[in-house]
Amino acid sequence: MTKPRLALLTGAIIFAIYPLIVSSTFGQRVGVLVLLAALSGIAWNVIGGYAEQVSIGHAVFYGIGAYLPLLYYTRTQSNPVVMIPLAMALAALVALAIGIPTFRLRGHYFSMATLALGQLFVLGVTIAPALGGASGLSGPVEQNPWELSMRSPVPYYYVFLVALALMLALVAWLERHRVGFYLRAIQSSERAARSLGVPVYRYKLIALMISAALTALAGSFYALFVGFVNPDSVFGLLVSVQMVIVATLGGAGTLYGPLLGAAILVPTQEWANATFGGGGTGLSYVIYGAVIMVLTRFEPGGLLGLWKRLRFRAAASA
Amino acid sequence: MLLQAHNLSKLFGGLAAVSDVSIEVGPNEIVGLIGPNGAGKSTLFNCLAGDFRPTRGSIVFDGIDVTRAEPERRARLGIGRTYQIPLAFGRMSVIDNVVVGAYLRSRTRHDALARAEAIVDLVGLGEWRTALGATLGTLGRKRLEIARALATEPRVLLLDETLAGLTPVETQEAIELIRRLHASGVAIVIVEHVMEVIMALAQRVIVMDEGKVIASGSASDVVRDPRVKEAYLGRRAQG
Repeated sequence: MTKPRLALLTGAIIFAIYPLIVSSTFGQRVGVLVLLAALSGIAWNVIGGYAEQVSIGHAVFYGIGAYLPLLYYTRTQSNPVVMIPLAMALAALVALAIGIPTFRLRGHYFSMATLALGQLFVLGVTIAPALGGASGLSGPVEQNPWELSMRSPVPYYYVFLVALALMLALVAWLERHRVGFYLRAIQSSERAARSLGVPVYRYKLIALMISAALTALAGSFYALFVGFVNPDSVFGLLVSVQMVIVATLGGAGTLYGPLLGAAILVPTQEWANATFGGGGTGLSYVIYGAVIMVLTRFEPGGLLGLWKRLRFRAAASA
Repeated sequence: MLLQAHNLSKLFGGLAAVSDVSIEVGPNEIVGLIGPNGAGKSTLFNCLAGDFRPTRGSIVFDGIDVTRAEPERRARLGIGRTYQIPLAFGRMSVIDNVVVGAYLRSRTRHDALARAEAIVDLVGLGEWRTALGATLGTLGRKRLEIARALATEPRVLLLDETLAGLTPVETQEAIELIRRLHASGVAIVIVEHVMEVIMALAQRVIVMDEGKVIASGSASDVVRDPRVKEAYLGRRAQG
């Protein structure tokens, strides 16, 4: 078995048995949060990593995914899970509406536009009483697996793990086909890509829509797991920034980068929050800031980039 | 005519980089485009390939007006190009770089890969197929540019100083490659400083200076043209 395959198999086994070997609810909760961060990181990576169109407003799609099921439940007392596909479709439509004007912009301008839009959504939802305003919305209280409402984190863990496997399979497929080739070409040089017949604008839109739909799925899962959402917890800037950090820490534009990033960042964050208590959110900003500084200064390729470089060096000196 | 530019001008602010230029390229013709630095050759290329919109004039490709067409549409119609400063997709392997171009005329991944493999071998990059674009040297990147453009199956190929900086042996290899491409039915417009290349390849030469066409004809005719001599030598004499 080749080394990468062995690493993959080991990783898969660790993820599969994690809730069985970690018995504390805290530890299992951290496992679920890792999977949620990985899901949104992988989703962000489709547009932010492969095509390097760095969105700092993906919380818009996460928030749509989180709000729609709980809004439906609050209004109708019916199963919120049925709203997940609709939330994904709505997020893709919003992505289209955002992408059409902003993809005329390039590089930093696109990032700035998404940042501004993200903040607009926080404001908009906060002042909308129909959406629960600043106090947010709550999900089902009674246990019902069909409504993804359970006490123990373990069932959530396995549902999200299956979703993660499916999402990875989808992105791996995209990576190997036309979309993946085109996005990586766009990342490198839009000009050269266009000269080869790549419809850059259209493919950026497609990638943003796929990315938005998958981000909404992660948002829905988060809402159903936590059972409560408010504008800051799902539309906030920190949510967008976490996706960027998770993907770039592990390796933006790589299949497993966001998963690796989430597996390192989330436990660190949870440990720091548990250890230092009250100033939890503030501490996240400190950790994110530190990660951004270290990555941009020393390893823009993330941990997988570092690993590749070290292997290359070892092979060269052998 | 396959490719025609009529009275083409491109202004940057008040400066006319290309001024009232008309050129024609026939199917299966090799046209050399020469001129001193700053003559407007690359700007003309950028207008023909769609990177720049001309300020005035029109461009017709195979009977279709493409003056305002996006570069990707021109590629689909059959205009291929390389860049003076190669724009390799640095984080992609050589073969993947070429697959991007090959997808234009391939429906499946299998087709695109097969097409790319054949072209990578044709341009002599076979042993580098898995190397990342960023790790290639100048010659490698230039070959990669040609390979990518070829993968789109162009009917006219615009080569922008593709042979600059090559050793004599490499230049000879590149000339052979261009001859083979031409023999396969591709029209070629080549911008080059190395006169030896132009003399060896071009059936017709267009000379530009200060944004205008100052001479055109066979290679041996234009080098004797006093205006051409002045454009090159006059400048040098003035320092």
